[in-house]
Amino acid sequence: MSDPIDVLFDQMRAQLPPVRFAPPELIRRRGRQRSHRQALTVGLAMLSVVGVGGGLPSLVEVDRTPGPAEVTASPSADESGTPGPTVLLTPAPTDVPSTIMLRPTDLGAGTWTPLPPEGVFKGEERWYWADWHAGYRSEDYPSRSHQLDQRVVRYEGTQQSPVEEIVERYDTGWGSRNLADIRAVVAKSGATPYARPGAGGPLRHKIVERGFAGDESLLIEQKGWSFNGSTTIPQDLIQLIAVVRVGDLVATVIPPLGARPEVVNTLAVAAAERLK
Amino acid sequence: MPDTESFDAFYRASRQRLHGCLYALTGNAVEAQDVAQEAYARAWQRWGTVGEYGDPEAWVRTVARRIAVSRWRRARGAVLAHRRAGPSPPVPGPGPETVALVAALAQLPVSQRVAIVLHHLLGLPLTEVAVETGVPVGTVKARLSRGRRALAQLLAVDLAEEKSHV
Repeated sequence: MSDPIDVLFDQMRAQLPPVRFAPPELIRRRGRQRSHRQALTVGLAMLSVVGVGGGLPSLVEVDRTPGPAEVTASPSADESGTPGPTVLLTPAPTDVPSTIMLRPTDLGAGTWTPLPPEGVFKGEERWYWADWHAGYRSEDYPSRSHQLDQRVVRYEGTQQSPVEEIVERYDTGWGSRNLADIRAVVAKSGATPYARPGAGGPLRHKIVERGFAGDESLLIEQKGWSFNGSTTIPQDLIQLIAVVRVGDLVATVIPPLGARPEVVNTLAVAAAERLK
Repeated sequence: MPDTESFDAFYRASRQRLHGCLYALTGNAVEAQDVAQEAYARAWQRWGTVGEYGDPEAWVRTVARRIAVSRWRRARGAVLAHRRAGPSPPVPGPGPETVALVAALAQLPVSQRVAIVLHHLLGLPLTEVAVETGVPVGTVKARLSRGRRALAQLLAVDLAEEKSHV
């Protein structure tokens, strides 16, 4: 007679739904980014230890999201790997420093507590706008391969759901192209409500305002829909998201659920000021 | 330069198993997917060494379990996922038996859950479970026995032959 627990697990093996896995290229890229991030952390720690890093920003940092895809040795580092003083004077232009992220004082009244950045991204890519329409392919959005660095902060308010900010740095000239890619995603997402694989119910995106902060900005409405098996029905779940570009830095600000447009605009303006 | 081809082949061959294991441990398919990716990314970072191991899948599985446990301790995902993406997905998922099993697993202590998933889902012998979890075989047996009894109670399964299993 079969062991009943084994029978249950046999059933489980048979019932597990197929999973859409990330291609190995993306996994390897994530590994490289981890390595570069760790190298940067070690470098900063070394600078702190030798006393030249005393002036480094003390802003609470909740995560160090993927770093540059490729890091080249600093020309100012000597053969032993000890960075010279010029490392501090000319920081690599490829990163997103913590000093340009939103701070609790930017978020309005109340107490804001830093949170770990889990759950900001879903699916295979660490781009908020990935996979928001049927048939999404990373290669259809050229700026994806020009993202140099990324950083996330999250704060929880006493009265409200969290505020999140994702800041990405792109290769020179590719920041504006990234906004073009976001507009393209929103256009496709807006055509048909779509549920990300493994995520919640269908959502639909729509640009509701432009040009309110930074060099370029978008206010995007993310609206929840329900699906009853044959038709999709709009729900009251609406999340406003602001995207602000300053040069080749792009900030995506996800305010508390239900935040009014004027509140989101205020956050976006604060984010743009930090990026400058 | 690490061997890209061998890593990609390893990833393709083992990812479904790892995802199934993590899904059983976390009860969340999306979380399982992200944890698996993170574990494979770490494997790629040191593939020159990990790829030479006799069983690199065990290494990745151990890393993935640690990541999952670390995230449980900071778990806030369910509320945020709902806020960000609305209600639970109306997409095809596992059948009711699997949902019930995963829900029951979630009620077990982590040590028992890990032992049961490694042994019953992945089919690892007790000695390998012991090596992978860093405890003596006797401890694995005890965890399996207690976990099985708890599962049986939660799922209303008769374990009349329990004594002969472990």
